[in-house]
Amino acid sequence: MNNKSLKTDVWIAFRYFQTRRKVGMASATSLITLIGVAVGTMAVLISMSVLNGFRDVITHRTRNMEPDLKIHVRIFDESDQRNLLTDLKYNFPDYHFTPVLDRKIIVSGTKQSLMQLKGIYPSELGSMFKLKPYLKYDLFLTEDIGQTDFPEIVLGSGLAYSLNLMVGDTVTLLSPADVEYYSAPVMKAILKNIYDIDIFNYDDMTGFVHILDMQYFIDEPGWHEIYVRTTDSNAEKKLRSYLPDQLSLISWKDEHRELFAAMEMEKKGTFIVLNLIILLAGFNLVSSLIMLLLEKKWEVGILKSMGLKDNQAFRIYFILGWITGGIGMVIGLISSLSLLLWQQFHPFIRLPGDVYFIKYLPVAVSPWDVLLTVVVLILIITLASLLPARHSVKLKPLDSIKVKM
Amino acid sequence: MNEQILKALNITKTYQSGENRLVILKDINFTLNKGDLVSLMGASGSGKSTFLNILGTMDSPDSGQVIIHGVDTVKLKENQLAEFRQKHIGFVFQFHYLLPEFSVLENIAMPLLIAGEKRQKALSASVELMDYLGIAGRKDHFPAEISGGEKQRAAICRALISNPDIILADEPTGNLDRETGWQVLDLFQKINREMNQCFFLVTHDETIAAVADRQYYLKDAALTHVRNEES
Repeated sequence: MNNKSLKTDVWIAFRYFQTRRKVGMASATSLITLIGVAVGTMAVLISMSVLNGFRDVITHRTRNMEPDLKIHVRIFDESDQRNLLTDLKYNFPDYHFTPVLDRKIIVSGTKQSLMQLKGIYPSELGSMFKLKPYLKYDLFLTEDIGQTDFPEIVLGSGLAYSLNLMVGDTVTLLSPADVEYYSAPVMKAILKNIYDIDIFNYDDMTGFVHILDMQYFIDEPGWHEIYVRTTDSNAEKKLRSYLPDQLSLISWKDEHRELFAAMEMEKKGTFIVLNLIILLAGFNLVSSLIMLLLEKKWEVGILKSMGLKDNQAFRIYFILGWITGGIGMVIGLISSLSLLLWQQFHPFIRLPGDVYFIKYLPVAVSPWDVLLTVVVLILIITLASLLPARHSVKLKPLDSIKVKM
Repeated sequence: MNEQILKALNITKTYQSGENRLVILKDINFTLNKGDLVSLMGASGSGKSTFLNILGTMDSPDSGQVIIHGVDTVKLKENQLAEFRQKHIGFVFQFHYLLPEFSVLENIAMPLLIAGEKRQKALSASVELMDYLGIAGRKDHFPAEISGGEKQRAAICRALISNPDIILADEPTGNLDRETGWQVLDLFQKINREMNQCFFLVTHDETIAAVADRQYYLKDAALTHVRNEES
């Protein structure tokens, strides 16, 4: 390739691009094409980043309520469970372990509802469950159950409101799973606090009582699970090799696999659908370049009569396509990334509090999403530029000049 | 005797028109030498532009050879033809065909630029030529900003810039008023005389054709030698 003639080809393409605004309808389609590519780019990146943002918020809040790992210990008797917990704490001193007892029960206030009740040590509401920031009041379950007249319970806001309960009200808990002699165990409890984490599965379904009250309520001396929190990324592997084979271990990711798979699927679907906008802009680019080529057909003929080679004509129209698409892409990237990063670090787009569970539009820009979008753009702009470029090669100088005669 | 630049041998060209095959050029033989100023007359549709385009490698004959500087151009491929035209042939059309997006200077330099010549060199050669043809003052103007005569002078400059062996002019005054047309023809004669440049001029106007040293007439697909300047 002759570098000097390449310079000339780039120069001609740029001049065509610069002066297109003066050349009738092709100018309008050119501008629309450029805007189309920019808007398509923005739509893809903003949508991806908002989906990432929502996923991160949901992940963060789910992680507040879920341990990293759960060890199912129900098949062990009480003393084996205690020995296991002691061993685990001794062998994995950096990990945080806590026993949990849970049961699906019926809760009654002025109405009735099914819920998941977890028996825990009260301090775990702030350490294992990280619920403190989401509690309505500065009240916690009493550590020493001997100091209270009634067992205490903390409920999710959705559940409390649906049962018309306020802090201090009494609720009745009934466990149908533990029916003996036609009678299910029943326990009364005082609503000590309400949390509002804004995730349906928890706010509308989950409550906490002292683990000793729970053991008394369902008449089980042991635990169902041991919850584990750790920053060790290899914890699952290490614990799996340490634990006896009959105990099962499940990570939060596996437990919520369907939710996160659905979110990932939604993101992929959105990405594909939104890329249709870029594809549409690609079609616009083709039609705009073909329109320009038809307007300038005689010029191609004149240039070829002066010695312009077919590969140079190809390059001029290919570069012209890339200038239009490329400028649209750069405008789209710069404006969307500026907007997104600003929102990510200095949120300014508010969400209506009565509709959404967060105050600001969540945004998380992923370099992979940006890279993938750029790759798709490059592919579409390249393909869109190829068609008119190939057409310019086929133009015969004499036939092209005759158009003007 | 001047060096022979172009030799056309047994050129035949036909066009299909419905079921009929029209013979436009039949077994035409023709030569051009360095420094020639040759004109070709003929009625509209007689095939004179077709003949010019075949000589200029923009069209191909059904049979025959067009040999320019020893090269049989009929056998060349599209890209080779483009390069060949850039080096050996300049065109002046009835309409100026200056590219509207480029200044007059850039239009004139275009054949050199697309051939890969350095921009500065191409532009200074163009300014020199514009000065020679008296339009240097219009170098930074765009085609839309200059008169018809100036446009045609710019087109002549563009045809001359690559220092071609032949300039093929197809009705170069057809779109100009009489006075401007004669000014353009004066330029052809001046360039022909001073630069020993070969011109092949196609026209339907006898008075214009008369400026040539050799005149031909195309009728019924045959070329007739009308007269020589010396004769």
